[in-house]
Amino acid sequence: MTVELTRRDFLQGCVAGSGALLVAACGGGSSGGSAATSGSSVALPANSHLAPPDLPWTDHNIPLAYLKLPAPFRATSGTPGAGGPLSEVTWFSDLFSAPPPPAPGNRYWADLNRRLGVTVTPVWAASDPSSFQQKFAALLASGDLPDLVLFGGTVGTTTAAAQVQAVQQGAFTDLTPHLTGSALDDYPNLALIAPKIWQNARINGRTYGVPRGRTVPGTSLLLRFDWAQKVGVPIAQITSSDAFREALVDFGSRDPDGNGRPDTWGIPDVEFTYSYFAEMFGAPNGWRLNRDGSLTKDIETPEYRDAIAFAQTLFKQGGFHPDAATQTQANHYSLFEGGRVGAYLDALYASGQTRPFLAQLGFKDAIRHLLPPPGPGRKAVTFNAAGYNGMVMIPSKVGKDSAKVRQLLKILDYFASPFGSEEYTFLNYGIEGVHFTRSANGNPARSAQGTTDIGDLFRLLTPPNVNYAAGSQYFSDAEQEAWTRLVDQAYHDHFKIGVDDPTVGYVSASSLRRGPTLNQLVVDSVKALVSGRTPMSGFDQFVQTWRSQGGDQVRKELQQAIHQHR
Amino acid sequence: MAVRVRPIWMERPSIPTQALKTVILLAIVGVMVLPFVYILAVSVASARDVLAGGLILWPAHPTTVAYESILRGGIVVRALAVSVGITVTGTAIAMVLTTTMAYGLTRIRDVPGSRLALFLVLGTLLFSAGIIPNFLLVKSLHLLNTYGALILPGAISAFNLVVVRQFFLAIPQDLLDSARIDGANDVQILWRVVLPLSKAVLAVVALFYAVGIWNDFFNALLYLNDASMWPVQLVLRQYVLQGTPLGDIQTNPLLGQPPPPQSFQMAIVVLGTLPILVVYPFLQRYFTRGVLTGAIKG
Amino acid sequence: MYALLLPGVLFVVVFRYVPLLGNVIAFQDYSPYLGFADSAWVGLQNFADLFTTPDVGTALVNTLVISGLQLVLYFPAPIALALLLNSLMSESIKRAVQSVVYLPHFIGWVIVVSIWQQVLGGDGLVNQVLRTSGLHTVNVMANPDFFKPLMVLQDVWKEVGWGTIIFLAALTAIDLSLYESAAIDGAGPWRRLRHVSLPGIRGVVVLLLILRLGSILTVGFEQILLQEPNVGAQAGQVLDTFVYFNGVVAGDWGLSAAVGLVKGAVGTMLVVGANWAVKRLGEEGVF
Repeated sequence: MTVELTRRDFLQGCVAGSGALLVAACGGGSSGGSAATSGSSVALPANSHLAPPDLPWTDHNIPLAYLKLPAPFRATSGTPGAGGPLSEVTWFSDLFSAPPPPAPGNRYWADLNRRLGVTVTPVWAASDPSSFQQKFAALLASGDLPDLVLFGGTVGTTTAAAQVQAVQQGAFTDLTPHLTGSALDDYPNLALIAPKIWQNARINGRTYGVPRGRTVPGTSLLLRFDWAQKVGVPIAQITSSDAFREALVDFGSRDPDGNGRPDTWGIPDVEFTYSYFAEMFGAPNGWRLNRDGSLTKDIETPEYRDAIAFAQTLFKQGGFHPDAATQTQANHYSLFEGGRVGAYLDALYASGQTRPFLAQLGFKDAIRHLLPPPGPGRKAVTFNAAGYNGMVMIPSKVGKDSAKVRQLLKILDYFASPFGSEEYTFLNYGIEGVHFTRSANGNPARSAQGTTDIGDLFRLLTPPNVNYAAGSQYFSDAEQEAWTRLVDQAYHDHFKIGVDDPTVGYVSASSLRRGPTLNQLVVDSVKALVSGRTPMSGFDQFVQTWRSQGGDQVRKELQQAIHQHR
Repeated sequence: MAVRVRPIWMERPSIPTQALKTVILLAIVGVMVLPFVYILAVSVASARDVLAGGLILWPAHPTTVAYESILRGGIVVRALAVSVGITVTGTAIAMVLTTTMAYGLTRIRDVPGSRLALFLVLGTLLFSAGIIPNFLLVKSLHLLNTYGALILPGAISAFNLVVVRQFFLAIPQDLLDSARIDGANDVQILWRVVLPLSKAVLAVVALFYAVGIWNDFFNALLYLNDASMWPVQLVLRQYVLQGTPLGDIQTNPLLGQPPPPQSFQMAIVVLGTLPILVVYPFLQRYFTRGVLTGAIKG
Repeated sequence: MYALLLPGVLFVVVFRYVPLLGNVIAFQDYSPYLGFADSAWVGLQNFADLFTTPDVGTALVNTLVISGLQLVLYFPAPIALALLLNSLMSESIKRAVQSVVYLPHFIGWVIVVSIWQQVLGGDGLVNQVLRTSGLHTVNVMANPDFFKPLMVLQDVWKEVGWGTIIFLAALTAIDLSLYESAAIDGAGPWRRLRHVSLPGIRGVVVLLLILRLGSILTVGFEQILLQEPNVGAQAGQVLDTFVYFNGVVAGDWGLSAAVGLVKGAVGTMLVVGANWAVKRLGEEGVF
């Protein structure tokens, strides 16, 4: 049988003979230990193991929600690396922690080797993009790539070119035959990764890597609910862009923290928040794919123009923090946490980082997610993220031997064990008693030894995020449940009006060459327009510059790529 | 209090001049030192202090949690040892190569071919290869994943070499001639006459090399795959990232809250700078006056 | 002499000149995977592309302006400070000041920018004071027109102390009896400065100036990369950040190499020219 099934096919209907387990939608039965709960309508392969979520799971692209720690279960069987040709597996990945000490002294690493059945040896690159790309290029040029290589970032118009070029020139194995259709059944944990994520992780239609899943619903705005009450624009009333602007300006002028000093503002920065304004006015997510196959860039749409005009007015009225033009990504959260700004945009899955702050403010009603309030005559949308950050590839020298490919994929499958499984607990927390201890309600907490020994060894490939808040030291059980439900509702609400960027997963020669400069041009121009340095009359000039400096060329090539490889 | 005796010929500066000098110096020192006080203060600040905002000059609730968290596990301590080792060795090798070659280039008119050698060195100031060719060279010399990769490629800095040469050229010719008359060859002249008179510049250039090796992290990142060999600046850099608020890093819902990122960053600056601050005073006495006084008269 | 020269020459040839051969990729459409042997040859295409890329003109102009400002402000500052320190009588004050002024050299640019932001930024110390006193705030960190002087000022702050080291060492080499004879001839402190101190360090100053000219197109990378987003590419792009975006991130290694060669050619011309000029004026050149 040579029909190539994509992951989409499973979800669209009853596909016979593929071993798929269909629940609810097709009236199939459930098998114990798998994902069936009432209210779930997501199809998963028969051999996948997943802890039943506590809240209804209606779409594979939305994270699972748990109100309590699930009972442990095994997500893999046997030793993934055993019996394969490789006895040592090297990998190239980014490092966000201090490097963990080496194996004999490091019990976590030693146990990891035992569980996988191979010795793992990471080759670290620092996590800043520049060092990462340069080290990759050097390794590639020397012909000495490790067995597994991380592709940094996502595939699209923001990708750094070196790795994509290497893929296109044949440096990496095409994994499509191994990871689509019934072949994916061999890797039950990889099959749990949402279909949109797999789709977005392709390079011009082919799968070259296993994605590190995050979530498909993208960013969300957290607003100081208590401040909104204080300045007289309660959140329930923020249903339009004008009301929103009023609230933000009031954050600056009406002293919501009551300390008598003019030290509070609305929005912390321009660069990392203006996508929210674009959402408010219904602009496309990066690009819009028109029915005739042509692409329109967001800046070319009247919706985007309105969004920038809104931001400009907001700036003039004092709704932005005075350092908005110079804010760094690392710092803009501390402004929110420090009580200097009343709104903050970040990935939905990162909402959890606010918990200590919430505890300080008193949990109830202090912070809320705010869906983008629509502009006049516009329909608000949210921008779906690509859903992953990084994917793990196999160099073609290694991939020539398909036994090695299968062994490596089985190892990756182990890393992708889902939340609540025994493997997940080991990977993230290590050995009980040595690296972590359990609190009263069973939640693991890492010890100092744990952080040292584990480092980033578990991060090569991580399963997609889940929505779980219980066990945090900051809240009572009731508050935690309320918080999880809140976030779950936010996920559903955001996904309902979510739009995708149609160019994710596609690259072209000029999107790689001109991409970085064009992106920089957009950010610079937006900042100049919003801060008023350039008047709105300069907007058309900006679009024109973008088009002539390579934008039209990128558009043409991407249209072709999408058309060819869909 | 070491005050030089004022020589007879030097006038007392007038009060306004002294006052002006004092004001300028105080201003300069203030502008340089205050940031360091700030850095030290933030490095011992707790989360509460940081959230309170404003410019901290000394935190209300000091805590050493940032330092503890960095020094725990022995990784930083080992990395410090590594850094000290490669800095000492690297500086020694660099100084030997640099001083010999610098002296060798002091007589470009007499020694055939040495003018070409000088151009060769100057050329490296103007042109450089990218990281890929350097990586390939290090690999082909089997220096990958060895400390040699951190010490050897930078062992002669053209800038330092030219500076040393400049100072060597300023040594009075009669001193060299008299040594030559006494039958010394070039190596002996270098060792017995030139070097003892050049303590100031040798101290300076040794300091330049040492600081250069100490601060480098990129070469270590590129050439050392084994993380247990990493020098301290590279390891410390990772702590900065570890302490950074989670942008994209997967939010593990059950991890504890790390100390505030700002105190992490500042503790790192302090730890990374401390050794040099300790060494510098010892080298400073070489920058004193009167190295050549008496040599000419003698 | 050859015994002294040979190890150094060997070293320089192996560790510097062999990798320089890698600059051949300036004439190729180089890809790390295909390597030198299999990447296509494109002759001077990379250079042509370089000169026709839209933002290269801005980058070049910004680079030259900053370089010029550095020559005027940043170059003389350590000399002035060294002379000031040298005139102090008290050895211990001199040592104390010396040990303090070089501290900023050791702080990485990320922290330096963060500190400047906290003092001079829109919500920084200075502006907080201005705001509570009801005065108009001024944001120097986000002002495109002030960007280039700001870069140079930051550089001066960070490096002036470290830069004095080499001039102080040069000043110690001046024979004290020269000062004595000048004083006997009736020269006051300023004249002694002009006629003994300055000529005494002239050699080092000229040397450093010529070397500076050789790297005139290099004005700092990390410092600018961190702050260019504050003011936009128009005001902030320099040659090195241009190469970063168009070369490293865009994977155009040939372009990076081409820029390196152009920089080297320009630097060589300036060094040779300056050396010749200096010799014409009666000084010892570098070579």
